[in-house]
Amino acid sequence: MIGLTVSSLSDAAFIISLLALAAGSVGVVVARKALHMVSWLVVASLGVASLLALSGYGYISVFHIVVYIGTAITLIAMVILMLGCDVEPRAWRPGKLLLSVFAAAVLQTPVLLYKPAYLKMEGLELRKAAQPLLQCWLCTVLVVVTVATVVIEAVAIARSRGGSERP
Amino acid sequence: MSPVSWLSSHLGLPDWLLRPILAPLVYPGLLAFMPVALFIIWAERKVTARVQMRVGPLYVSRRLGGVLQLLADGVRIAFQEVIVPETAEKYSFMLAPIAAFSLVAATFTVVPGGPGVYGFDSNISLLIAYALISLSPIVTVVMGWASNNKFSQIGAGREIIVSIAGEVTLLASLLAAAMMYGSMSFNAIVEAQNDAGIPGIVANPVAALLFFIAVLLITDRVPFDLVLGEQEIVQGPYTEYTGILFALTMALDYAKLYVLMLMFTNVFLGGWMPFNTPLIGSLCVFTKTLVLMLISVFLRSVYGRMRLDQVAYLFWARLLPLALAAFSLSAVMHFLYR
Repeated sequence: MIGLTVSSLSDAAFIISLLALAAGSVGVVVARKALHMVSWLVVASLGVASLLALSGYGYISVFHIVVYIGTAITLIAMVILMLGCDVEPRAWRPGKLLLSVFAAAVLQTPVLLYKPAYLKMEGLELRKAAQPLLQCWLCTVLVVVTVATVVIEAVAIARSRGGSERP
Repeated sequence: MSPVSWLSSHLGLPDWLLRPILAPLVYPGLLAFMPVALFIIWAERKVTARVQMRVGPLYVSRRLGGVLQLLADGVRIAFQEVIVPETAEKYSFMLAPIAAFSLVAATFTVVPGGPGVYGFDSNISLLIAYALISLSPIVTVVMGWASNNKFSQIGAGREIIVSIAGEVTLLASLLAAAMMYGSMSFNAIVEAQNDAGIPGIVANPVAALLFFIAVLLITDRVPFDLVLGEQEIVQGPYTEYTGILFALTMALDYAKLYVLMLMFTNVFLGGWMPFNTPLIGSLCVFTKTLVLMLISVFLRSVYGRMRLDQVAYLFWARLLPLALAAFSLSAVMHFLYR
């Protein structure tokens, strides 16, 4: 009998899901073609779904797959196919990669530290789910900073695309 | 002692770990799927040929009616060179068929193939199977995009439109059935039908019909074979594939058909009803699934292809409202399965 137990496997699954989530998040930002981004988004979403399943929210995890990947991301892929907007970015921007790694780390640290996988909560309460994030003040500050940076970046990108650069 | 427990004691692996490995690989998974696929493709070609007054596959194993033709084709395709077009996205092009087929193969883990023959049982196994099936269209889109071919891209676009329309109807019919049985576990659903002695297709024929039609759409069967559309767009998203990758793309739709018909057998035909032993029960499930697959491939000989707008109209405007009727019927018939 080899030493495989349910808890060691779920630990491994937890780490693999976090890795998938991190790889997906980074991939979405650094991918150079639009459909590659969509593929990475699928990987990230699958990571989220398996984290939800490991946290005891099996039903929500399945609906996350059905609604977000099965429908929403598929529709994004369709828009990309129709518009043919697989334009490569002109310059390599390591700042984007750093930002994405930073964001992924910030969002994942509380999950790693507090392991809600073993809490077995009943039903999804957003307040309870966000508690580990809010308990650590540094994490909260970092999340706020990250979200603000992402919004500013998004606005900057939108402004530069909408103006004179377009033919 | 069941074969799984015997194997687990010999391999030194726990039972709960061995089951999810054996189910997708052996039965009801790939080992059982391979002869089914060969037989179904042969039957499809033979029946269509008979309807059109031709002979169909004949030269390989003439005495057996050419049944080994598909095996010969399979061997040829397996040894054929895989050609990747210069303009294609190499890695996406090569990985997408493997990913799509793996996703469909993973579905066999949750769908039981007989009494006690399953990968793992969950109280939401019906939804897990559906979620895994709903993941494959996006990989098909990647295939179409990576091929960098107009036919492939048109096929991929069609795949999205068609799969969303079909999956909504499929989910509605599955949820109507789950509401009727009061459970989303395949094993509990079959047991409920066994206890009541009434298969789901009798209690709620509307949901069964919707499921069957949606399966035809999702698996590109005639009259809804818009994604492949041989006369219009060659092979749709699979146009540029050759060799073993082409075999995988071909097998993908048949694997989907097999797993969805397995789901139909469990949800609407009482699964292993009326048998309860693992061997006979599994044979019963297998036979029912095979008959359903034969019916779905027979439709190729009697129907033409619908247009995309007709299919979208049929599913969104006609079948989706019918799904509400299936829900109402389930609410009425719920008392049968208490």
